[in-house]
Amino acid sequence: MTMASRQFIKEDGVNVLKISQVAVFSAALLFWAAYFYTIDHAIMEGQGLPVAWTLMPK
Amino acid sequence: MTLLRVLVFSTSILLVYTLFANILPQVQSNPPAEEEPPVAGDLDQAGQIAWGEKLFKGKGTCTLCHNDLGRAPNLLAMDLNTVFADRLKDSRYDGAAKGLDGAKAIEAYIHESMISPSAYVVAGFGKKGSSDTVSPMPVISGPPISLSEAESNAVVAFLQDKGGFEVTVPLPSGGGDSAASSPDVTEEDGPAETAEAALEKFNCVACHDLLGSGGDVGPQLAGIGKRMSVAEIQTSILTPNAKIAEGFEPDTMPPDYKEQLRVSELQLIVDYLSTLAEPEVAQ
Amino acid sequence: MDLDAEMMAFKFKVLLVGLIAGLIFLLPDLVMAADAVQAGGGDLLPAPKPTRADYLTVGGISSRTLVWGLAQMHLFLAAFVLAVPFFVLCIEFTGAVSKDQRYDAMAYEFMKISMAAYSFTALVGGGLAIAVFLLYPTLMGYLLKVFRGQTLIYAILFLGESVCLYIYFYSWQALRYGNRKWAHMSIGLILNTVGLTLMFVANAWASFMMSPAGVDPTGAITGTVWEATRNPLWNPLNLHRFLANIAYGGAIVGAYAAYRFLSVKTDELRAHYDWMGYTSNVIAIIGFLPLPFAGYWLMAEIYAYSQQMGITAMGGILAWLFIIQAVLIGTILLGANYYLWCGLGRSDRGQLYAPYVKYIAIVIIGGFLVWVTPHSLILTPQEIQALGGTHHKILGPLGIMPAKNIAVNLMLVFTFMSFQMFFRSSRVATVAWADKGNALVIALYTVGCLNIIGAGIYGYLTPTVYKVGASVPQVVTTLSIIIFCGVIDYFMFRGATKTKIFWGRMSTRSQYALFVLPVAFTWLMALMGYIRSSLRTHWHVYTIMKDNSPEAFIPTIGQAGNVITVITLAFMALILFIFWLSQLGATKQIEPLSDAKLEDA
Repeated sequence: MTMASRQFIKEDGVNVLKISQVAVFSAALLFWAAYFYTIDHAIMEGQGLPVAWTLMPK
Repeated sequence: MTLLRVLVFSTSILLVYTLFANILPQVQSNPPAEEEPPVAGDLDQAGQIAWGEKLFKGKGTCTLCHNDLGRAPNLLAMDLNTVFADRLKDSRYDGAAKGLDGAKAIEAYIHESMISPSAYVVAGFGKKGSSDTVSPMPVISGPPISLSEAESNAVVAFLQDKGGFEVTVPLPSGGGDSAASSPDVTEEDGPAETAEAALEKFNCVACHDLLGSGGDVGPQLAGIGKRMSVAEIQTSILTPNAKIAEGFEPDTMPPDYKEQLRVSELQLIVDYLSTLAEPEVAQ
Repeated sequence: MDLDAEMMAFKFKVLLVGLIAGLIFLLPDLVMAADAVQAGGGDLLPAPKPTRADYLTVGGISSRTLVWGLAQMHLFLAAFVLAVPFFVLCIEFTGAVSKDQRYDAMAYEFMKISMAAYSFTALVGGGLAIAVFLLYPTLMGYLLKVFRGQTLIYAILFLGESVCLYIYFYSWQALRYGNRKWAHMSIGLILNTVGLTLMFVANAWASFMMSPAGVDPTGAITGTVWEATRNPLWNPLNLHRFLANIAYGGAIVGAYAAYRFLSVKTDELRAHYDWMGYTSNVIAIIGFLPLPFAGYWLMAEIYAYSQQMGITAMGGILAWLFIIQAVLIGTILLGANYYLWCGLGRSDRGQLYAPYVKYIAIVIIGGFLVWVTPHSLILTPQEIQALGGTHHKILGPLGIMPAKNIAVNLMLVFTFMSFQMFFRSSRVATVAWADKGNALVIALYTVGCLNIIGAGIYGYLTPTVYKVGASVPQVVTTLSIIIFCGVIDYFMFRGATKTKIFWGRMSTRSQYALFVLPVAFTWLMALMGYIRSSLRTHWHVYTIMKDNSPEAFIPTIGQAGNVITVITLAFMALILFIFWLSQLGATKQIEPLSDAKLEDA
């Protein structure tokens, strides 16, 4: 956590948010969102609770 | 010195918890008092309805689930007149009240809900994963609630009255108050020594085709040992309404055999029935 | 070639021992399953119906309170004695694999503490058996009929446990290195197997009383012993107690470590006990984190078995107890976290994480407050009707399940975060993908927390069945965060530069956090025992055998709280005595110089 936060702070006195860092983070967010959506859906269905693609009850 | 500090610290924490437990609302839950069942002649219909309400909120523990928290239909707040009628009109309903009319149908429906809750489950209230086919409601005539016939009738009367229907249940009488009473068995007779004697003594032959009697009020019992386990046969005798055979009605078989039968007699009957051969297949 | 062959032969032996251990575990089950003779051919007598006269009272002492006290003490001690060999074996294994001798020394010291506790466990257990057979003979007679042969197996297992325990402890220094160490660990494995089986057998009796199986509705024994054992609540109880034992054992040895830390004089010893305290806290947290899941499963099985029993617990007269539970668990989590935060001061890099501590504290305290908020004052069925289900208009919505689940899951996630921070505070990652790994971890926490909160809000918008069902994704999210962070950190910090951890550099305050843990845990265990027994309401064996004793009522929370406090104080006194004993064993009096020697000098 420390190394990453340092990179977000300062470089040559200017706050530089590298595009690559934003891209990596966004990709990670999407990855986990996909994972959690999949298991949420599977768990609800597995309990005998039919849900639509929005995860609301069918 | 360290020891003392640690002890004082630990004891203080414990005292906080104890204090907290003591300032919360204190309730002692007593086992249900043996309700004095009203004696016949004492109770008129208004009294029966009042008794039913007392049972609904007391011994029956109905309000544990039938309240506004969504676990079970909130019977006390709903308009029972429309609600009960709607239940019977539901296409999924196929229970005891089918084919009956008016207040009698309502009586049958309420009674069925109490002794066979899974016969019809209101949409959305079924057990998780059962698609509303299995009810989480316990059988009210069995333990742990164990309402007697008279008590169940009183609750039915209360609900019928609340829905503005005519009260169709009989008032409680001295002994048996359901469709049939078990025969008067006197103790001078002594315990039956054989299965056949027991079957005659308790008049099983009157309704079941046993010992060549040809009785057809109750189900055929030949070969029952292959269809039901010993335990299930026993339950059918002691708690007849627990499971009704297809094509037969509840409240036909006397419910009070468990008070009448000796254990030895029950065992004789159960043993006899579990080995009763299947009928010869006639061509 | 020679060495390889020897290693192979030895691994074979270890496998064989493992197999024997497995057989010991299976044997009672095989015996029980084979006992089909009784089923159907037995006397089919219904359960006895005891009258008032069948209950004995001795000397005006409340029978129920006496049995309660003995049973609870036995459970405290048994939980401790079963848990310690489990994590001792794990620590011993770590030591054997990492070749770090400190682990072995610590494992041995933990074992020493539990040895003295063992005889007290047996003593109190014996007292419990006498009390329960004397004061509730009808019930015990019935239970003996139900469990028949298994009772003898239980006795034999106790013999096995004693044998294994003493051999395991006393052979420690004799089987210290190389292949012998593996033999020693095999003995530890058998010890744990026997202990676990003991607990499973005892659990069967308790769960049978709540959810009977293998009997018909009148109580006549129609099934095998295995069927009676494998009743609906048996396995949820097994899992819950197994995990809770570990957490509890960790908390108690942590108190030992904290006490020694505050008493010793040298820096070296202080460092040793600080490290021991840290390890104990970790064990307690590892055991604690999956507990809500096990508890949820137990509650779900209770509901599935009898909705009435379930509602008595959570929505009926026992509902307030779960608020007290929330207070206790809040204390435990705050204590464990506070200890970890203090621990950051052990390394110089720890300061970097200090700014994040306040956010974790906010979440934990906030979660605790939400969890403590009650929903309604449901008491007796009559009062439900009279009050109409009152709840505060604003705070009320915080009292129901979705909010509480959000709170509890977030508290667990952030506790794990404290732990992860401490882990990282002494390590600098050297892998090339470290910043990507960090992005992955931060994203995981972010999306995971949103998922937990989202599933909770979902519960407000959906019918009851879906509301309850939504709590499973929440728990799985928590577990996912823990597991994935663990995996990512494991790979990310391989070959990491380790900065120095100054073991012993801890404030006195922090040690008191280690005292709070076992005190709160002990009281919590007793409270949960009170709830579990009360679920049966006025039944000895639910729906089968009514309790007709003069004390068939459920006591009020205040009365229960008083009894629980007394038992806890008694246990604390006993544990202090046990700690003192284990130290006494290591104390040596120096031989005094005789007059003759003085004259020579």
